[in-house]
Amino acid sequence: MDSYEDVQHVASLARLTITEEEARNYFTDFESILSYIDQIEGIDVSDVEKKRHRSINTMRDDVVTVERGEHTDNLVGAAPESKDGYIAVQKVL
Amino acid sequence: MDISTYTITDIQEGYRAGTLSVAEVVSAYVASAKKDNDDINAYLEFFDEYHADEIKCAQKRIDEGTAGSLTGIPFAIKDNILMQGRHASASSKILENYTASYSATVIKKLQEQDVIFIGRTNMDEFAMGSSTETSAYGPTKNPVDTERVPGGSSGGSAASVAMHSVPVALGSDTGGSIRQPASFCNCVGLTPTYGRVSRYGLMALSSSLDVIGPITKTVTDAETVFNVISGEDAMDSTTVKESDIAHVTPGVRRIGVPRDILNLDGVDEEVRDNFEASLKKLADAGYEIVDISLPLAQFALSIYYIIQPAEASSNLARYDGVRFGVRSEGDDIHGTYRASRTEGFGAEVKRRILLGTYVLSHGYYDAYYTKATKLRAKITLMLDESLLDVDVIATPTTPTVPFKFGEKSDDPMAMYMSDLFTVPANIAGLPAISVPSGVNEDGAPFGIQFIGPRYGENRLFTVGKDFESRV
Repeated sequence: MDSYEDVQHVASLARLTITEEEARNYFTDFESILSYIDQIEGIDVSDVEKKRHRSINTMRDDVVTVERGEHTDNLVGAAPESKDGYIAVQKVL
Repeated sequence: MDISTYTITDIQEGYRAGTLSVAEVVSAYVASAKKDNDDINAYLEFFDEYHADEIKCAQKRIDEGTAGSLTGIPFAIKDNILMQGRHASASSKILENYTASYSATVIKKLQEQDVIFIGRTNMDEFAMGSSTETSAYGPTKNPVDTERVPGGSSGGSAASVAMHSVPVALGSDTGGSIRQPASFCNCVGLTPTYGRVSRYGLMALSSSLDVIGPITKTVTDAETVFNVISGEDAMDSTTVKESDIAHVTPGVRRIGVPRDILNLDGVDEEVRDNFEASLKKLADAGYEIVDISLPLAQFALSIYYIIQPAEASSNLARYDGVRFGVRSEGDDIHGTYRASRTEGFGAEVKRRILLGTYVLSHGYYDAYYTKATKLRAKITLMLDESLLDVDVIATPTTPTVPFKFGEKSDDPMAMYMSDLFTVPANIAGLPAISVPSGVNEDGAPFGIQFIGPRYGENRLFTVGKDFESRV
């Protein structure tokens, strides 16, 4: 990370709006955090096999065990806005 | 004696003997909780409205002789564990209006026991912090010394036990969030083996690290709770099948001490002194204390601050003002995402989302994330091998005693260092327990941590109970 502008770029990727002052403060934090993290730079990990370091996703079969609509009200009800049993949002396209 | 200072074991004895009723136990704890909460701020909400029914069910089972090991026991629950129909906010503004759509597996297991839920406890926002200062609902004070932080992120849970408002609280631990606050509040904190307790219904911080566990007054109580909440769960595919759990012998004779991480910068002299005194007690009790070398353990914190923000930035992508929580309207859908997240998240959460997004971004992914996962495999192997030689590993739980409010809140790296000793167990997915080991001249608590082999919680209980009886 070279400057506070990089922080602003990352913020836009993460769908966050930050002020220039916030970006400058985070940049200072990241300099110290990343310099701590960079301790691992010199550690040799070439002996770790590919298969051993990957977390593996384990999925069960997606078997439907509920009645259609059984949880709809409950889940849609958690949304800030809904209409006719659907979650309502602004126009996407 | 005041009922609210009892342990789970004490209460169960009282229930069995008929000298205590569930109603009087609950009313003693609730009174204690309400008397102190204005000052301590351990609870975000009390659950009194449900107590009449819960008490009736629990008392009935006790009277009929069908009670379980936790029937009628008051519990506090960290605010990131879902209970259907009740609020759960992870101490974030973005979820201030959220009502859980379903219950966590651990909650269902406790409900089957007919426990009494006293309330939901304050925490660092989305479990990101080591002091409970990042909560959107104000910090929690440490009941042992109210000028000091209770630790975090399960600070409200640890404080709820320390202030005698419950004998037990559930917390979650990603890098030390159960053990560190337990140590700071002079309680016992257990982080089970990764995958031994279902995470279904726990709001995800870092899915490859998160574990649910109890904070209690005694090691025996932690064991009782662990036995109830652990087990395979079809709703969490990372839980381990009973048949895949390697049997670990419960006996403890050799205790390994990793001198290389004890002597790192940032570890206070008084913490080292207290730890040496604890080791002497263990040696006097007949344990063999051996120095071990864990040269890579010092890098666990570095890779933790890659893996954990990386996973957190992905997990927190779901908070966008669409499906749940608070929506802040923008000019278009993207503006709404941005406005909801910008207004809903606090500074530390944003810091970690930014850091996680950065280490996962094009051009940095291999240098940070891939490297970290490889090093994680090496550290895991190193700890697994070390635990073939020694029965458990011992370290202090924290590099300092509980610090004062504001002391580290402006310096994220100083705050992150609080997890120095606790993070390695999470990185390797190993079980670990923190047990109180005395106080300094100001009365600030110390804790000792024991790390066991995978599925070796039984060893932590063996050595933990023995140590506890000698402090």
